[in-house]
Amino acid sequence: MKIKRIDLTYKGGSFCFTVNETKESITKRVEEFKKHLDKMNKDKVGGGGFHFNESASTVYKDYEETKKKLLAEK
Amino acid sequence: MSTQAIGNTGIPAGAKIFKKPVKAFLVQTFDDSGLRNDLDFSSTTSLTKAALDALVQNSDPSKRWYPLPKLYDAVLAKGDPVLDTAGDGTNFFIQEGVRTSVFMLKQQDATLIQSFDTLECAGNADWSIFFVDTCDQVLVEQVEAKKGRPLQIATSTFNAFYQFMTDTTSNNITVNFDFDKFLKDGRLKVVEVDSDANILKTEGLKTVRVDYSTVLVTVTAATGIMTFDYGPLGADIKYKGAVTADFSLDEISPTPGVVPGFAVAEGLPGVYAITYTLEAQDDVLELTSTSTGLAGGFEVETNSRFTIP
Repeated sequence: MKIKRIDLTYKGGSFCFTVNETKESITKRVEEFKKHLDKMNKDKVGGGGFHFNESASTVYKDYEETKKKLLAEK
Repeated sequence: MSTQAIGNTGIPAGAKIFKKPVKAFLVQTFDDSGLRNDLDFSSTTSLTKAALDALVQNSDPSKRWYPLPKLYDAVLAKGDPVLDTAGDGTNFFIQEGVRTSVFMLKQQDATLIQSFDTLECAGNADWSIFFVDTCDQVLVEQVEAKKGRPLQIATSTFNAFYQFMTDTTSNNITVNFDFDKFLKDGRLKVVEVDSDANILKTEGLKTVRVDYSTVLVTVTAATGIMTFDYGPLGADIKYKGAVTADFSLDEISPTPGVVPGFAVAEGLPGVYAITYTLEAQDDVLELTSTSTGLAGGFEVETNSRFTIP
């Protein structure tokens, strides 16, 4: 079975990535995600209360490890 | 066998009797491709936990089993046969009576009745039912070899209504229907279920509704409030703790396909921010449940769509 997506879950947020992500694309996604949540908190959209503190480098490291593990399982 | 003989009447040890019905699963008689939703035992002898989970969590609603809460006071009674009585009192058998079903779902929210609307509307899809007894046995009709058919509900006979609590009785939803006239008693069989399937405790999927209207949708993010139909008016119970693995995000129009990456964050309970790669104005996106979401017991409602402003 072909891996189609990689889901990573953290306290306060979760990501669905494709299998072709790069360090740059993940960094961009995580930073934009954080920026968006900060804006929502500032504007009190949906009542605010969003808290995601994971760094982009941690997410990238987890992505690589998870991808390696999934490919080994298949 | 002579043409006058009946079948032999010896019964071997180990014959199974269906006991008191305490659980039921509604299922469409045919799926949307026209195939019957029968249980196939050509390569197995019992219903396993994995098979039961797959039926209850099927992503195709036309193949899905819909478990009901525990049944109380279930009576599957057969009506009197139709007889032609001659003037001298001789009775001539014409046809068997109709078998009916009555049971109660005790101490349930009246909202559950909404789930049965399709069954109550005449002319909609044919529906059938699997009953389960106190010994984890499923009642089926064997029409084809090694296939167990759910018992077909006669069209336009299903009705469910709410009974309020009284000084001596609890509230309940009473469910009535007739079985299809062609149900043959002699073809009734039981199917054994693996004990680890815990079939009597099986719960149906919970419908999650997503409301995007009251908050914000942009070209890179949407915010939705996810709730169930249940709870006090204006304070529906929130769907909490969902993550990306529970969802699939797809573009419906103008270019149908999977939205390749997205992220989800929950702020206040049940309030979700969904971010995605840049979408164009007027694109229509839809959030649906993945198999992980269904396995968790939840299904995002069909048509949970939003349009990029």
